[in-house]
Amino acid sequence: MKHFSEVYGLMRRRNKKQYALLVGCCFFSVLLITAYVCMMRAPTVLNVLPEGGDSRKQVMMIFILAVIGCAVFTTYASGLFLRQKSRETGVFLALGASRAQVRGELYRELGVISLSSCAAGAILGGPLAWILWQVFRLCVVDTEEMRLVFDPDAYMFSLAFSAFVIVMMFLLGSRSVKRTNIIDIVQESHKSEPIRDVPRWYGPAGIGLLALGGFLGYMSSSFFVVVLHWYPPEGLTAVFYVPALVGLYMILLHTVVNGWNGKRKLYRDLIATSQMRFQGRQTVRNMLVMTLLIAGAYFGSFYAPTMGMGAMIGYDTRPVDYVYNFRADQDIPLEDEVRALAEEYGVTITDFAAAPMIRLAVDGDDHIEEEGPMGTTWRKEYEEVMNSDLFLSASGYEALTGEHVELAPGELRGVVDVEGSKLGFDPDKRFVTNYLTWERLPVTSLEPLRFDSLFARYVMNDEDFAALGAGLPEEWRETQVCFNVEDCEKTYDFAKALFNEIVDRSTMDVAQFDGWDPVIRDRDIAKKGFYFLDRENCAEAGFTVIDYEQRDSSAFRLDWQYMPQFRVLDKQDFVKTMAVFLILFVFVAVVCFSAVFVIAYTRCMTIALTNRQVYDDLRRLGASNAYLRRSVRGQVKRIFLVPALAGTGLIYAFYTMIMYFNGSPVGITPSEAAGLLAAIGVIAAVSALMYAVYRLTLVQVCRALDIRR
Amino acid sequence: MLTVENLRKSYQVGKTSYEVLKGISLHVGKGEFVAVMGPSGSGKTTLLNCISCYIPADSGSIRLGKTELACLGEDALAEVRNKQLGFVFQDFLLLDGLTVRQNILLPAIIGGTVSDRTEARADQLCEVFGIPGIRNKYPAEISGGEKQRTAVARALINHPLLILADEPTGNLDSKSTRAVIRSFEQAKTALEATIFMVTHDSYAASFCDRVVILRDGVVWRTLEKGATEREKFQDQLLDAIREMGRGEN
Repeated sequence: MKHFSEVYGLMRRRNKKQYALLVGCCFFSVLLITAYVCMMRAPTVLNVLPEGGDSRKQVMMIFILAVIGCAVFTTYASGLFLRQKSRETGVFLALGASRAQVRGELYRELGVISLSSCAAGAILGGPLAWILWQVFRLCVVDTEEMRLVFDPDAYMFSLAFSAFVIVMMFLLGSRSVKRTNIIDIVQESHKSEPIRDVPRWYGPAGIGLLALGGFLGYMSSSFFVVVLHWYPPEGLTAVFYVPALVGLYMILLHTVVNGWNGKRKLYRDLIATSQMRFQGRQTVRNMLVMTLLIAGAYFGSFYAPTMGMGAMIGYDTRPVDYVYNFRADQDIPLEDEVRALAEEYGVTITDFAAAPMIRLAVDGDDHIEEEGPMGTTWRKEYEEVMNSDLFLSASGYEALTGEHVELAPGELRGVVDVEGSKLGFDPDKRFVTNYLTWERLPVTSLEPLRFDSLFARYVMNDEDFAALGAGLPEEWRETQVCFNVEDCEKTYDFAKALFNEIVDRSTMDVAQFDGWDPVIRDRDIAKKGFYFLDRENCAEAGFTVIDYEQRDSSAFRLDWQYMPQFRVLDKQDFVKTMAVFLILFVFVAVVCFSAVFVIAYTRCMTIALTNRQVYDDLRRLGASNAYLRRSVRGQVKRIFLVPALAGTGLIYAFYTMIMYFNGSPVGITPSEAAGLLAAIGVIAAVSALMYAVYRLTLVQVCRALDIRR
Repeated sequence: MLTVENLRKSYQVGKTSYEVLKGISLHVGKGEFVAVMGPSGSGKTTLLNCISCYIPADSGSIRLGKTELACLGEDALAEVRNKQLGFVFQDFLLLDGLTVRQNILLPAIIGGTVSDRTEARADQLCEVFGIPGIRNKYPAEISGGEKQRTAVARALINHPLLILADEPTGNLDSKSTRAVIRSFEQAKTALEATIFMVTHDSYAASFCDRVVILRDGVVWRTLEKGATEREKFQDQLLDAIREMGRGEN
């Protein structure tokens, strides 16, 4: 061994673990970001996340969080690596190596580490996303829609992140060589990071700010749009979340510096608390990032179970097993054909009802957006002919539901779901118009009826129904069918066959996006020259183009205007229908939790290294291994437990708030309650995993400090 | 060899400035074994750190041979540390990933001067300091005394003009202390090394030719050993320290 670089090589071989940790962290972060971005930017996923929609915003938000998380943990891993290296750097400098000499060797190492780990992560990120996706396809669902196609542009994100990792490493490396203080090395002393005294009111005030920020952030958007009639610029509503972030920081600061136990356990926790205090600033920053990542990860994790539970309960509480409607100009199976098909599949239909519906224009408020000096504002403009809806006669409604409805002429009742939710539907109308004859009937809207399967229909007096329906062509008439079967759970094949039959026999005239409305269409064409939900404009406007060949896709099943509601089909195909959402959110959760674990691990190891001298001194003062272990546990536990509790509590409260406010009227519905319960199941599972990582970290930290059982 | 003249150094803590060295002057001749003693806060370690060029002095002069250290740039100082100074630290500062022999060779490796002759010298130093049997062992596998003897050998590998030792026996038991002091004596006699040692230990200091006692940042007294027996010299040192303590009270 004659050259300085050979010494570095030897040290590298000797300290394999340190190198492995850094390489692993960089590789892992670039791998995760690449895989995530490959998935997020894949046309397969983009197709099911509507542009400007909440799902895409959530995915983007969590992606930003994941990038921050990965950036933070690679930075800490690099910091930890350089800290471990600083001793040998100090020795080299003390023995006469020049800084340029040390810097050269260090840069060479960092170059190899960063380039190789980033390249490996970027290269394998795509295949990882693909493999995960294939596993999901294999185990859960395999449809043509699920074929993962990558967008090569996704790699630009990966390259950008890799560039950040490389530049960050070199900057830290350069700073490390510049800062490595020979005296510090010689005296083996460490610089602590003290924080100022934190008043005890920080804790409760932080909780208050957190709650206030969460509430303001969530409600500000509705306030601007609904009350001020103003669309705030992107990002403005995010400002209202700032008090929540400040509150969270204050809570963590209070937890680290003061603790919540007051003076009760002052002496028992003295070492752990005081050591944490002197690592204050960085520890709190770490905890803040971990808390946000945990919250983001849970947000992703909750999506599947809450949506799944909600949907399952929704399917179970449907009052009718099979519901479908079709336009009168379509040749869709009716009772005889349905019964024949049922017989073919050995299914017994217990009752069958069909009722005519007519499409009539209704009044309402037009939503007119205007560009002004303040940005986009909107105003309401009442129109006597605003849009169209489907109407049943009272006798037709009775035939379908068995519920007798007494309605006088001119009286109208909308139908809402069984929980009374009116979301997106206004049952209060003043005028109903035959759009072709322009015969208009002033109406009085009564208390809405509740029947899930006929949500957003209206029921009117039989005579009014006949009078207003007169002269309507087939395109404006529909048939509503409801029937029940014996042993519904066992009728999947029949349901599938009937669904296929309906789709096969539907013409392209009804291949329309849900929400397509002939009245709005006419007005839009008159005003703008086109209607955004016409097939030829759908894609451009970011809506699904209905394709009968893609009948098993989530887009088709969620968005086709004439999609039947067959309980058994919806239930059993739920995972298939929602597959893209599920896998994406599961992936988000995996990325965020991995980042949390790595950050916690590296932080704990940093604390172990920083406090090594303290533990040696304590040992000299006669501290037993049990005492030292308890002290270490106190710190490691706090690093894991505080963000876990804060992140979990935070997101659970936020989720509950969303559930509470997102309905109309506000409140928690039974299906939402079930979803929240399912979320607790997820919390329990993740907490168990987090506990396992905590135990593992504790063992590693104790080993690093030579504390034996 | 080493000449320190009117050396001053102060530290700033907040708005308060503490003067640690208040105009220290001393000289160490070639082949001398000199110790610096003094109570905590007297400025011993600061003096050593200034001489080692680890921290810059506020004023005064430090000359090693004919070189004025205060005038040197960073690279030149690194060169001085590597070629003209040898270091022995209280905590040994051996690299765990290198064997004893590799640790001894480290200053030569850093300086890019490793040759067969240097390797032979490393082996010779192992022989001189009684550690040939452990030359291929790692620091974790050897005792404190052996680690410090390795550090002394490392300090000598580049034929430095001066060895600077900071509390070299501070972390050692009495047996290891004796072994390390013996290695300094061997370095002095067999290798004509010049040694400047900071210590609290009157036993270790009693082996030196001269002991400089610092108090409050100035040289309080200098004791020459001359022909005095070691035990008597140690008694003189202890008496001086007692006297200094009385003076403080």
